[in-house]
Amino acid sequence: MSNANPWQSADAAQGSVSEPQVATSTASTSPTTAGATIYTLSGVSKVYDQSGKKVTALDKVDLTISKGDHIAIQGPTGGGKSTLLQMLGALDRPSNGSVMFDGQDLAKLGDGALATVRAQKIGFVFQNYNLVPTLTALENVEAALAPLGVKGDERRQRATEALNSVGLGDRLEHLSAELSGGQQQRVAIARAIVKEPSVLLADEPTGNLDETMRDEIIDVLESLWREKGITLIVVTHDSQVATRMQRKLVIKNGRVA
Amino acid sequence: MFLTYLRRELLNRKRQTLIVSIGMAVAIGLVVVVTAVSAGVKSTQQQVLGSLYGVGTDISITQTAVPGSDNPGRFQFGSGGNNQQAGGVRTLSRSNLRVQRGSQTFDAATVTKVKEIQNVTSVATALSLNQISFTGTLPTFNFGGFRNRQNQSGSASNSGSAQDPGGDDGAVAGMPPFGATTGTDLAQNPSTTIASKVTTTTTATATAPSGGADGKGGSAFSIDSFSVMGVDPAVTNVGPLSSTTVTSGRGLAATDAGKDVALVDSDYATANKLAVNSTVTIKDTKFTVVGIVGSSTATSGTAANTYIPIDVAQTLSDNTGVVTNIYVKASSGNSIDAVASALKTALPDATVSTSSDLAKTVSGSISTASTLVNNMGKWLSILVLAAAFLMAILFTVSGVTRRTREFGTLKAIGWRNGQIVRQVVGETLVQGFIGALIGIGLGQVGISIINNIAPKLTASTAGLGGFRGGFNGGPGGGFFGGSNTGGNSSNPFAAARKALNGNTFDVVLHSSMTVKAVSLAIALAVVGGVLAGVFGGLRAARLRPAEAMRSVA
Repeated sequence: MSNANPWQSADAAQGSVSEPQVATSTASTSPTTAGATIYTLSGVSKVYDQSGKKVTALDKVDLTISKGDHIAIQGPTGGGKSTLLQMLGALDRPSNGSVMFDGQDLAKLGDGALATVRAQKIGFVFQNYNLVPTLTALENVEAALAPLGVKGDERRQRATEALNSVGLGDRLEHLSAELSGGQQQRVAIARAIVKEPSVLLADEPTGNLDETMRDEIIDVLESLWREKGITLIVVTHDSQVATRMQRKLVIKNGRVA
Repeated sequence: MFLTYLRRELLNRKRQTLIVSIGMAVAIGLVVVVTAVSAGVKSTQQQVLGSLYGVGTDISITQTAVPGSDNPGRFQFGSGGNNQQAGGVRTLSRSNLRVQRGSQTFDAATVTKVKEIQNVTSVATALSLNQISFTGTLPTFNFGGFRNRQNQSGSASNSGSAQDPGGDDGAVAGMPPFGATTGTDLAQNPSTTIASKVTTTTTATATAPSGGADGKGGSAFSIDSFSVMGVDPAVTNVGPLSSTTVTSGRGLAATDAGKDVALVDSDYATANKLAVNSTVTIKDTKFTVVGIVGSSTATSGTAANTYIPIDVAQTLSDNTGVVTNIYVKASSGNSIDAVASALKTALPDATVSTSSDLAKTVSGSISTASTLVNNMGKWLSILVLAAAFLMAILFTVSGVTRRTREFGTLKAIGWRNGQIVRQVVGETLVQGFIGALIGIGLGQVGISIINNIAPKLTASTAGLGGFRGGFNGGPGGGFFGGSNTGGNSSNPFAAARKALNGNTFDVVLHSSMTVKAVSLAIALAVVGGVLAGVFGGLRAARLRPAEAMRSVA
């Protein structure tokens, strides 16, 4: 069940793109829970109204993702990658179809319930890091525990541990402006994992980083995936990043290619 | 987390915090100044009213005369009284003590009715009287030779005829032409006591008349008038004496009932050189001055020149058992209106005035100031407040827009709308409180500037009816000493005018920071902060996290 080198498995799985509207299965096993389904998307469509014009971002997407999957989502700009990530991250509801996540249909949940799902089970990493500029690294990580009602000392302790795990134990009191891009992204990763989510969604996590930083961040994500058995879904344009994933999805014109 | 985030936002976004806070501060400061000045004006009005109606008095009841009931009165000069005849000169002296013109009296049953009204805790009564003494000399007439001549010695040089406020009414029956004596003597040389004044005047005029029974004039007359208030000596917490302070001697006590003792207004006492143990003569009765009283407000005079026990006043003025004024104290400030309403129902013909009603009777620049503060000040405050609130809202909404990514991210990591609204409201509330603190400081500076300028206001109260001279000097010209300009209490006529026509005081406006102003500042800070926070917070909460992410992608 465990895989000593999942990135190699990802390489092996490269090219095994699932057929459109067909549930894909992982080409390799995840470190911990391979096989158990965490996402089932059925006929998911998302249509935006832009100045009276209907724009279809997702078009009847069917997709299955298993726990512990290690997936890269690729595709051209405007193809629907970010929209798919929003559906998976409970940030938005589809216009049609269902998004079953951990036994709940996200398409039918209200805003409050979606916020709870995000607070408890989903971690986000953004291309621009999206740290609160007025808060320190430690406080940014603590912010992820605030909606869970984790209090004072425990909150600080867990946030410190998360920052230590990404190698920033000596930058706890630094503001984001005082950190490099790579360090800021590590803070963002610590913020995403501090609540111990079952899914980590990363939207171009290395998009603003140089190659060295990129490799550092991918190493961090890889070790989290390996050590915690987290389901990792990364949207990326970077083929170097994609080749290190177990599984690759390509989205074009709102459909899984 | 809430407090940490709040502190970080306020400290790291100082410009936004300062702009919103200062905007609120200017508005709150203005409101504080307007509130303080308004309170100062009201306080000044209350001082003026207190000196007239009593500090502890909540409601004053009077009754205006019914049409046609007023009687100007007349002096009867017969062979009795103080008439003397010596050396060809006839000396006349009469005094008259009567209810102030224009007033109507209440009987004892009415007072009892007032006492029985619910929530009336204390009742005082007063009998407002006016004492007029008429003294003078004229030659002994040979009635067979009496002629009414014009342009004779009296009228040609008589300054008194020009100043005579008297109309044609109220003529003294059988009055001859008056002489040429300068009538200001009495006004400028008030005698030590009212009683001795008669003597002085008689002596002075004994040699003055140059006319005789041949009709060439040669007569001189003086009038002394002052106000007398009969008060209940046992009641001091309400009524006219409640706003006075004994500056010398003692006040009236319950044991003074029935005694010929008097309190004298300090201004009147000074002008007439009266002191404790002096005597004042009221309707030919000598009263011992037991105390000198001044206004406890220090900015105005007291309601009358002299105060005597009400039972004595009733007997002397032939008004046994009746009063002209009823003063009421209600059980609490909240019950004043209810008591006034019940009184109006019980006494439909009476004039029932609460202190707020009475405040409307004060005119002069204080009234203008009050109107200015209450109208322009109020609207200016509302306008500036609205502008400040609008500015705070716009700045907050603008700030939220700039923080779209921040709030979108927080929502993405699980923050609920309520948490975000609470965070934004918290920030604007603190900005509002900072504004309130600065605003209170600015307000204090404004109040200090106004107090340093110390604007002087005049306050005039409506009188009890015009004083119209009821004496006709006839073609030969008459004279009444003093100019009736009022306000100069060294002039006995002025005192009369003061009593009859109302009072004019110069008062200095003093404003101070009040609990109400501070409370208002804090309340406005809360309102402004919550308004701005709710608008901004709702805007942040309405952001869909997906759109927030997209907007920064």
